[in-house]
Amino acid sequence: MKHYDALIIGGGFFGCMIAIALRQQGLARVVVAERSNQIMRRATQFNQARIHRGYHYPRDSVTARASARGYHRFIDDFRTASRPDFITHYGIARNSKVTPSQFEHFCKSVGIPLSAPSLSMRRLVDSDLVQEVYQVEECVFDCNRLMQDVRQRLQQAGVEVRLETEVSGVSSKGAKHYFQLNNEQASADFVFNATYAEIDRQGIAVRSKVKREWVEVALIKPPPDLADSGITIMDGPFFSVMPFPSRDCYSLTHVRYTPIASWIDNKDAPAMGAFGIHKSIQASAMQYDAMRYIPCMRQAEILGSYYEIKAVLAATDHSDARPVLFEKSDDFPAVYSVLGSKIDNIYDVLEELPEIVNRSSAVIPYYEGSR
Amino acid sequence: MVTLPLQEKVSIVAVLSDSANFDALLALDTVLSPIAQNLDYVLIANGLDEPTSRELIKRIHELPDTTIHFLPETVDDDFARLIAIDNAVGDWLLCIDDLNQSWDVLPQLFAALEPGIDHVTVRTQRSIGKQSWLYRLLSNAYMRAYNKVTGLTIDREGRGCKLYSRAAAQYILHNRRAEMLLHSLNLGNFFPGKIINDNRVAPPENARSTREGLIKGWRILMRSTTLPLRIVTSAAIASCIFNASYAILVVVIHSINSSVAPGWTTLSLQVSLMFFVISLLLALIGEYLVQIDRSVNHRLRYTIMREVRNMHSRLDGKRNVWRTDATQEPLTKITGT
Ligand SMILES: Cc1cc2nc3c(=O)[nH]c(=O)nc-3n(C[C@H](O)[C@H](O)[C@H](O)COP(=O)(O)OP(=O)(O)OC[C@H]3O[C@@H](n4cnc5c(N)ncnc54)[C@H](O)[C@@H]3O)c2cc1C
Repeated sequence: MKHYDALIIGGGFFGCMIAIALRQQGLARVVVAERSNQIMRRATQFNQARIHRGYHYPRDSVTARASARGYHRFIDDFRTASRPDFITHYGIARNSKVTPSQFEHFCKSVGIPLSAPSLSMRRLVDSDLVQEVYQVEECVFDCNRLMQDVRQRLQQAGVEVRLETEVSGVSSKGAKHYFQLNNEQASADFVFNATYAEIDRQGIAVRSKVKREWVEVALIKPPPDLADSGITIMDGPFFSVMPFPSRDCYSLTHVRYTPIASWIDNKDAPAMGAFGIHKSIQASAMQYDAMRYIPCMRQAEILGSYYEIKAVLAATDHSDARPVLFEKSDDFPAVYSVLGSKIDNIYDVLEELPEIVNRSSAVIPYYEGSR
Repeated sequence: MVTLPLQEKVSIVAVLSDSANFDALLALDTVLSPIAQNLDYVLIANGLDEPTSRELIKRIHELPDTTIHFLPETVDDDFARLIAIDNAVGDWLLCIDDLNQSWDVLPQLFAALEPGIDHVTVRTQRSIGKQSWLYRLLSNAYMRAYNKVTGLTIDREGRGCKLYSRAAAQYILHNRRAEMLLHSLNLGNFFPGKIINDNRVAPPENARSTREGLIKGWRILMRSTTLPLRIVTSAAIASCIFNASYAILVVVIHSINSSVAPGWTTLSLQVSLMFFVISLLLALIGEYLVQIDRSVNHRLRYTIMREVRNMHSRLDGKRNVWRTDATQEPLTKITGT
């Protein structure tokens, strides 16, 4: 039976980065078990591709500050994946939950820059419905490049990646955890459950309730006036038009129309269609509403939609807070469930790891190139 | 004692006057820190004298997460409070009427937050301030009339503090009657509230002359309602009807009575038709003005002359990680903001 120092269930961005960090902290045998035939093909691939800098969270300064902290670090760490070649804007709608003054106050307090938009951008929005537009410094990432980069790092760090591998039957005896990797029995000292939307489906009880949404994100060819820029109308039931570099198009999300169904208990999960890119259902509703605020959205062309499950902590769902869940299991000696939030909040998770690893005597120091 | 989760931000909004004392702010912070881990102070310096301003700027580093907005000219305290609310981003806004008070009631205030509650008011005993008897007489009458017309319960008790959910604060901010709502014990059916009675006598209100009171009363009336404009349009319509009727009467008199003075009919018709047209125009213009007023966004207009901020935050270095020992559910979840 193969023994690992750490097993990471789920090869999304969070799982992979945790695996790399564990290796760097001295764990010699770290394995990532990913169910699909490729890493980072679920939520890490299908999201809005925004590298959050905090602007999106005027109502939660903890998430905003974490993003403001992680933003430059992420861009520095993943230069090839970051796409700063777009100009991003935030517009404050007439019925927004924050006023323009509150938004400005918030940006100053978090220390993120705001400036006036170009005249042409100002003209694109209907000033009856949008109180103020700001140009911000925030960029997007290309998930294909991010995947290549992470794959290389996994290799360099010596992390074993097992694709098309389903983890099941987690149990423990003493300080060791036992589980099946497909049909093969294996054990590990640490287990990290980084399966995002399926976090409570791994036979590992998670005390925090997780709310899931079956979401549709429209992929569009942007109107010519919006080429090279993105805009988010906040704060409430509004929308975002953002570059989506991995598919060479834009994404259109709408707070009202993007969620198709939501549930907390898995038994209430609706019958969902397939994940990934398919024919649009709600895209035209999103486009019609966006046209009221940005009339040129009429010229956007709908290319299709991607479907994914979004997971957030139920306790913070109605507020703006998007913390990362980091929960130690009550039932096992060293099993941790991690529910990712924003991609660049990964650093907060990584900072939790040394504490856990150093507490364990099972650590054999690992030095770069010692393998 | 209630402790709000890290994700639940409380913004303290207050207007600083000449008696503003930084030690009072620090005392408030000592009481609030164990209740709320995530706090910020949005303070409005409303026409402060130079020594007070200097003292505040010099000592701002003692209080993290603090911003002081200096206004170029002194405005009414309620308006200044609205400016503070317009800049505060907390999930909860604690509006402090007067900094020179004791804060023993604050734990009770936060403990009163329960599912569905959007605002809590601490009601102290009103002290007879330095206002003149005429001011008090007029203001009592005005408030009584205002309450009757609007259905609000304007708080005539002493100054204390109020806690608003973000949604309730936004409602006040976007309401035409914003300044009065700051003193109201009810915010309509959609924002249930609670009152905590505090037997202490509140610090006296800032003295306001009768003239200042009248100006404020008039401004609030004009801001809160289009009734005066409606009276104008109604009078114009009545005048229209009167002039049209008078013109008909002139024609009738002219046709049944041959002894009217020459030129009377022409002159009377000319005058009544002229006034008919003028009244009609006035009624139409008045009606358009009402419509324009309704469609205008009644946003606060103000200028901030200087902003001084302590960039040091108590959130510095706090990870955005939800630990399960944070068992308390955020209150915003319950209030659905
Ligand atoms: C619509 C949408 C928009 C978003 N927009 C943004 C944004 O703009 N910016 C941002 O920063 N974040 C955004 N997010 C959030 C972000 O995408 C996620 O937080 C992040 O991708 C989570 O990464 P992860 O590794 O935890 O999850 P995933 O990438 O979903 O990885 C989980 C992996 O676990 C695997 N798995 C599940 N069960 C098993 C099992 N039993 N055995 C083996 N493997 C298993 C899955 O196959 C999957 O690969 C968005 C999310 C969504 C859904």
